[in-house]
Amino acid sequence: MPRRARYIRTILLELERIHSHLLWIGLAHHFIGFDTLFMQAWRIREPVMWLTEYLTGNRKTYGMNRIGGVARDLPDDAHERIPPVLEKIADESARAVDAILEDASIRARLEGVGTLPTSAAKAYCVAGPTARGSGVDIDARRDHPFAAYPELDVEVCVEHGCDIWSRTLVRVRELFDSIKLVKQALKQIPSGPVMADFDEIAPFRVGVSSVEAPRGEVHHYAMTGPGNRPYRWRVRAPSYNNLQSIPALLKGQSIADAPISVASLDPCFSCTERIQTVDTTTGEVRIYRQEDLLSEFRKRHA
Amino acid sequence: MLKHTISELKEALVCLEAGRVTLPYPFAPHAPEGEFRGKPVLNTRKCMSCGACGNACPARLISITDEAGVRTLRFELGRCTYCGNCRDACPQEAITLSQQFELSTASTSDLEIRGEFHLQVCRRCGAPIGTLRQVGVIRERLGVVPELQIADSGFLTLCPACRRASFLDNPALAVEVTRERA
Repeated sequence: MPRRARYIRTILLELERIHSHLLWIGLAHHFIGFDTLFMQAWRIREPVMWLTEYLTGNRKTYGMNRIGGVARDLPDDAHERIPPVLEKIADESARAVDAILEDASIRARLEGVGTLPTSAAKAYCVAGPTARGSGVDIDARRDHPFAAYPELDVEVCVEHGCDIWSRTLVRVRELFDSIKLVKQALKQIPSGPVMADFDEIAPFRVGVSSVEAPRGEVHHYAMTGPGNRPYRWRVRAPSYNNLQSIPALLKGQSIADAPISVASLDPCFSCTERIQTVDTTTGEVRIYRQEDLLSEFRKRHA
Repeated sequence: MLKHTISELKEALVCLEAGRVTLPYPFAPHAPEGEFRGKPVLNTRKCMSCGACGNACPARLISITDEAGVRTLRFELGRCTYCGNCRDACPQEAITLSQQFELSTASTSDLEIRGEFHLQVCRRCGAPIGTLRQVGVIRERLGVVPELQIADSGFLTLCPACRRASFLDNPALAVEVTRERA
């Protein structure tokens, strides 16, 4: 893949982290009943969505990654348009974060709540900010470098409090680090093509990738098939790991702390949909296929 | 306690400084960015229904059916992710991604694009070869290369199988082609 394409992928991934963490900061406050900061965090986040719409043609589904590069180059005025937006987000986030970190009520709701000790975090194989908030020093950007990360100064934010407060601190620090990374990538981005030259994609070749998404490491396995189509594709999203730790997070807590404890993992339920039913009397396991689900669904909504 | 009051004042300041940010949308229109990837639009005057878009579409929502001398090209946009692969693959530049994004509807037929094209059938066996426009475009392109004029001596209206057969039926032509190559 051309180096310029690697940098563009990195810039988009870091913009993704900025908006994802701001979204989480908002949601976390919503779950503890502080809707004012929920709305302010989302207000601060909105210019990132406008920026990605300008860079890729859509707010959220970027559609930028192509086999061998990216779909479009940075617009001509990108170097003028991106930095002011980043400055504004950094400035506004800093003020909001400054208020949050000194707020005694927020701290009381998050400190010592939803604890996941380092040993448990390792045992459940949690990923991303959930792991780093429990003192596990992992980050795919440093551990399995991809895109342009080998050429950038990636800092891994680790906190040792093992509670929701630590997960918040990790995300807050990562938010500012991501802004720095986008700036650095913009400064270092080389010129050149954004797509590699290649012929037909050979069928039955395997590719595996590991990328540090905002919620943690996401793994993709793909096998190419005949006729320009994938033959097999398997995704392991980080929420799948993180959700396993919920029983440990909730054990011995009051019910009022349950919503923020679950939310502190930043779970994405659509990323983790797997269906298997077990008949508890016979122990029989049934796996639902697409056609089974469709026919079940149509029966109910006919 | 004092620290706590200060942080609450800071929070109030964050809100006050921001002021009102809500946009009047949907009561006033909201134009997306210039290079926005919205609902795909098919220019049926340019399209020759070759099927390159269907081959490139990751969601497989572009289908082609040949029936009764007519080829139907159909886009079911309910599954579209607006990736733009169809636009990039189109040799005729017939597909553009528009600025339309308000696509929610109660009827799936609103999310369908349909184009119908007359088929060129093989003059020997009657099997469909391609659309009339596709054959026309190929004839036009061959026309500018004098060495390839020979290929247009009626072969464009034959299907690949009949083309091979006609070569065998017409040894004189086969010899001529062999000489050209040598």
